[in-house]
Amino acid sequence: MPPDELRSRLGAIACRVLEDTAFVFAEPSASTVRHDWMEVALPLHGLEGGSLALGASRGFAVQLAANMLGVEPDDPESESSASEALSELLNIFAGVVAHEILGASPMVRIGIPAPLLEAPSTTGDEIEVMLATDEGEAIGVRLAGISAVRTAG
Amino acid sequence: MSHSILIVDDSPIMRKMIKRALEVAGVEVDQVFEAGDGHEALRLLECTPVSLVLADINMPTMNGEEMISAMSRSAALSAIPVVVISSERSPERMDRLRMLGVKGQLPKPFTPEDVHALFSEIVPSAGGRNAT
Repeated sequence: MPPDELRSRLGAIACRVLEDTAFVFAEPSASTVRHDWMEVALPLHGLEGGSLALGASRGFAVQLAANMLGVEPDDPESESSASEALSELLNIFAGVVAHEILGASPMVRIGIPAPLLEAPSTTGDEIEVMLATDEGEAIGVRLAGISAVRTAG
Repeated sequence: MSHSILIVDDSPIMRKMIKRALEVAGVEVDQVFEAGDGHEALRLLECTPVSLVLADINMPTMNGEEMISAMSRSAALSAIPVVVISSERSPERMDRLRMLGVKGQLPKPFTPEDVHALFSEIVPSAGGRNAT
């Protein structure tokens, strides 16, 4: 699958998962600004070098957690659940990606999400998509191991 | 009919989301129990009667498939209906889970309407040995 098509599909899936799970409307964005960034990643077992990552600013992650929990952002539970909210969004995102994009790749299994404590090294075998909400909040998704990705279906 | 439900998911936030979806869907719930992995769920099921298990698949320590397999081998637990709520959509895995007796699947992300439709479909089979 051409990288541009892969990027487009990845972005579309991310937007859909954000809307359905966290009630946030976002669109692909050309901005690469990451402020107070937190990121989670999971391995895609069976895909050489495969992983999927999701990142957002800490403040926006708190908002996402609040939306998913059905509480206000200033609720202490929102603050304490920010990383977990990103992890669960990534988990759901990965399931849809595995089904809709990686479907033709044999035996790809989604790993367990975990916080990324430092910026990952780039290998050139990944694509990144940045999204932005109307309020200017940024979300980034990154798929690594794209050379092993075959067109789904 | 009121249900006692066990939610098995390693994500506390997802367990809360499932509880909210049950409320919004109008599912009559007597009690909701929670477990963070398959081991914890099996320990709870040994001493707590539930009428339905809602289980994630990708969990550490003991995943959902391993838990469901253990339940199917238990005379006491095999009658409890299980619904998989998971981001996992592998057809091969779902085939294996259906062979183990899983009654339904709710892919993530899901809506309260999805939950309501699923319960409408499986409620006749959510009696189980330990139904309240």
